[in-house]
Amino acid sequence: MEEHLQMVIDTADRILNDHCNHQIVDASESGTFAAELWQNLEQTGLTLAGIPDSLGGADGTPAHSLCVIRLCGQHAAPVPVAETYVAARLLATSGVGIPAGPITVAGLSADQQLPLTITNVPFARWCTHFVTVQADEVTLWDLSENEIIEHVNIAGEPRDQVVLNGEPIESARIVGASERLERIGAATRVMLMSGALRGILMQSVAYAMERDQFGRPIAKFQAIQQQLAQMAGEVAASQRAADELLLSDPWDDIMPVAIAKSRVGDAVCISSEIAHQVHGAMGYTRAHPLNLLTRRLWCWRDEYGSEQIWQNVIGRHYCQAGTHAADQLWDTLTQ
Amino acid sequence: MFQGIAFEPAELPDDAPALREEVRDFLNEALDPTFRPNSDFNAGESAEFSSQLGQRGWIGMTWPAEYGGGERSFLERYVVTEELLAGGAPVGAHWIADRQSGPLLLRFGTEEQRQFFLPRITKGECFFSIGMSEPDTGSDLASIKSTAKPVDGGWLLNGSKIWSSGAHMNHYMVALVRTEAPSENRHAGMSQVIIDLHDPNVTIKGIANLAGDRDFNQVFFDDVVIPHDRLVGEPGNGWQQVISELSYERSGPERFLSAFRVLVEFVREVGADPNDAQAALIGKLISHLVTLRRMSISVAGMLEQGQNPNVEAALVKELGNNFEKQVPELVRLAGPFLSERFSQTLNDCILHAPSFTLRGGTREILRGVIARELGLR
Ligand SMILES: Cc1cc2nc3c(=O)[nH]c(=O)nc-3n(C[C@H](O)[C@H](O)[C@H](O)COP(=O)(O)OP(=O)(O)OC[C@H]3O[C@@H](n4cnc5c(N)ncnc54)[C@H](O)[C@@H]3O)c2cc1C
Repeated sequence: MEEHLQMVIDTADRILNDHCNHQIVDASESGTFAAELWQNLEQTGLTLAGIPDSLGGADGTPAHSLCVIRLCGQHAAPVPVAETYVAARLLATSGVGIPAGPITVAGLSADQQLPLTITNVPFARWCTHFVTVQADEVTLWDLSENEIIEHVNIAGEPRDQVVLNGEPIESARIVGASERLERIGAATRVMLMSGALRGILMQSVAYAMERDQFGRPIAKFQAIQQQLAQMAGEVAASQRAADELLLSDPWDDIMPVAIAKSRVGDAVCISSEIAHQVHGAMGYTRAHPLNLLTRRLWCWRDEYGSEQIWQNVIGRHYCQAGTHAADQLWDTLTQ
Repeated sequence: MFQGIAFEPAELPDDAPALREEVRDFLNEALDPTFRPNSDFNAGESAEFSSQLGQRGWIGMTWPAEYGGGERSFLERYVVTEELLAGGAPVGAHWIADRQSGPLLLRFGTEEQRQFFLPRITKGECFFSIGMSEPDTGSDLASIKSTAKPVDGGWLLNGSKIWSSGAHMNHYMVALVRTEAPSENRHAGMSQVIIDLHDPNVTIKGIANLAGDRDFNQVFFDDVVIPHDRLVGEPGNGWQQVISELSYERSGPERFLSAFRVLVEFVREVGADPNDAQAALIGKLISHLVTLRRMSISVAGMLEQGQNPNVEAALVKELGNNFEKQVPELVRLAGPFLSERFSQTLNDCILHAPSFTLRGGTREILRGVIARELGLR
């Protein structure tokens, strides 16, 4: 792996280990922003890792940000690193200056007009700024001047309602902005999920070795081994599908994102099911950390398009050649 | 990914597109260009076809030139093998020799064995069977009973192998047999020997599979003399040698492409305008297939670097076999599609699907391998 990328990953890992634990995630679900975690990530440039220097970022490639986001997923980090990256990418490309602090982002349908009521805005209450995307238009808003009604998803992550009334700070155009938002947004969810899947596999394996029943660790029961092996397959496939997004930029390429969102999303159901089965009743408690990841996985798989929505995109893409599609399928797959 | 499990992305070589074209052109010349319904490596065999492949240099591609090999990379071999499978080519005759027996001889064989067998294999003239399973031995391979006793000039073999694919058409079998009495160490005292399947003391009885094909056999050894120079590697080292073949055996595209033609015919049936459920199913299957391909290519890359990716290979096979089994079951529900062409392809796959998670190591055994890597056993 490239040296700079490894450094970014190591730094993110260290900060997350130091400043993101069960208590902090729990506290965030009761409404306390993990300010120290955010500050450390921001100060080390990790919140803008994939944005070029010249545009106000920390001078990495998109892969840098995606790797940081993957680690955030593994730690259930309750901070808008994914949103800030997506927002900053849109701003940087459209030539609008990137403000400091956490930024959130959402797409609008083409016919929405002021005053805008936007639901499901991630982390809005803790963000200073908000980027909206409507068709090709990218707009930066100051959140302190707009109304926020608090809502959460089933993982206790803020998914607020924002009512935009005032004047925006600035607007600019990017060709295909809303499609790009969908793609890059989906890519962040792929990375979050791939990190969290890795997390629940590690937790499940560790738990199986600690928990004794019938006089031995449950890991020694073949039924448990077989389930965890199956889960390892799903997690390995998810890692590999997600890795593909580090090689091609989701900003431009739709198919790798579509494939990854579908494949990783498919892994969530079976992997979280096995993780909970292996953890027994303990894993069903709020006190045990497993649910911090599984509840998030159940949310992230739906955000920026469920498996089914992306599978439809892939399916239509491969069918578009009509009567030739079948005979060209293999050729298209191997290009 | 997790402790020792890694699927580092590997790039196919620059000549991959040209190589693909070559294989496709060849297949369209050599075979019926309109309908080749089966992409299962075990589904068709043709000595004539294998010999044509040999002439093109597509058998033993990675082996040294002095043995007739092509000195090409595992990734180039990957490209050729997946093209042959996806194209529905009858590869059964040479498949095992190319994938497994040849590499085994390269690694453990004597110079004489290599000189004798490898060039013949690369010409597509010399086909091998695998002799591991026995009537009382399946997953528990160490329990084999076929025994070769030392005699003047070699070994005297008695016993029987079963499920030996293609033994009725192939020239040789590499068999795992006992060369010493069982001892405390269950894995000791076994050796791999090359059996001439035309030996008069070898009897081969066909077994029809549930599809009615005659693919596998029971093979009986009745005082078969194995000359000294037909034992492979060290006497007593058979178990270690068998284990070392596994990543070749388990990671290739034949572990997830067996049902590929079903997907092709499904796409043909729905045409340019699938309904949402059909489009989503095509997308789902493709997202799994593409990911499996990338994982399998990663393993080919590791083989190229001289690593021994046994666990990664087990993961590819475990995921790939499940995928192959799912394809016909999901696709049939997206219909009904009534064309003869679709039905034939689907039904053929349904009839062969039970074997996908058995041959080459069962799902349960593979999961055991993976669980060991996870530190659970
Ligand atoms: C199409 C086909 C072609 C084949 N070709 C060849 C060939 O050319 N040469 C050759 O040598 N063999 C061949 N085989 C045999 C194949 O390798 C065996 O089928 C396989 O090793 C399983 O052995 P078995 O069928 O005896 O099943 P068994 O080992 O009896 O297993 C039956 C069931 O029990 C499960 N089981 C067994 N042990 C355990 C355990 N410890 N823990 C949990 N579950 C367990 C298995 O997973 C399986 O589900 C072929 C098989 C097929 C289907």
